[in-house]
Amino acid sequence: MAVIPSQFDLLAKLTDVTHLRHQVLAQNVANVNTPGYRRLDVRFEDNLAEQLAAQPKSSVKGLKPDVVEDQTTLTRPDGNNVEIDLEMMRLNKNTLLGNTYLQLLTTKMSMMKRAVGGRG
Amino acid sequence: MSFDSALGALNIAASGLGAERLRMEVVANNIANASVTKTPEGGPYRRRDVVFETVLSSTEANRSSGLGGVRVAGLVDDQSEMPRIYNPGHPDADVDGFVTMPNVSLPTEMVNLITASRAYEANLRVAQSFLELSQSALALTRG
Repeated sequence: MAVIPSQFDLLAKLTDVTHLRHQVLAQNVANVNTPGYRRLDVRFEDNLAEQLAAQPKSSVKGLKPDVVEDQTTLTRPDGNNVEIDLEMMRLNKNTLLGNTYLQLLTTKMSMMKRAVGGRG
Repeated sequence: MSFDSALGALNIAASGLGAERLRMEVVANNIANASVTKTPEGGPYRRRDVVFETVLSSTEANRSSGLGGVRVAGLVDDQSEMPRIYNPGHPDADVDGFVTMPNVSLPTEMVNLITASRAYEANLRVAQSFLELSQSALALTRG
């Protein structure tokens, strides 16, 4: 058995993606009044689900998130398709998810510390 | 990952805050000059507008996604027609007694002011949530 639990890689990756998504959302919010700006989005979870379902199991380390331009939503007269309320909702969701991943990491770390220290 | 790119979201939010603040300043300037008929360039005041543009980041890590925030591309003069009002007693009145007034319209300015201040709040919220997330990440080191 590996010394480092396998979920560490996964959680670290998810934290990285949360970080990138936060930057992308910040970019969208900063450009809410820029004419012609098209909102950006991060694609990762679908790739991750595929990777996790695939046999044989392989490491998630190599998976990379994609930053893509959103072409689907309706645009405003100025050609900008950022909807500020949706962006704020995504931002809150991202913060919540990020905190969850970090909380999981913290718990795992303290468990390992306890195991290494040999104290209850 | 360099430390600067670790704070990327904060820099982007800061660029948004700066841009929106400038927009509020320009609106304030327009309102303050709403009845100015003498300017250094001559003639009445012409209202100004800010133009925003997306910044493509210069750091290697961000270049592919182009996350550099926003910046003010420039200030442009509004070329719309100036209203003329009849006021023969005014020192800037023409021979027919008409004074050319600035093309500032208060409703437009107020709408711009509200949009800018709401967008400012949104950027501030982004910065706050980023700090919150960073605090949790730092808590990992405390165990």
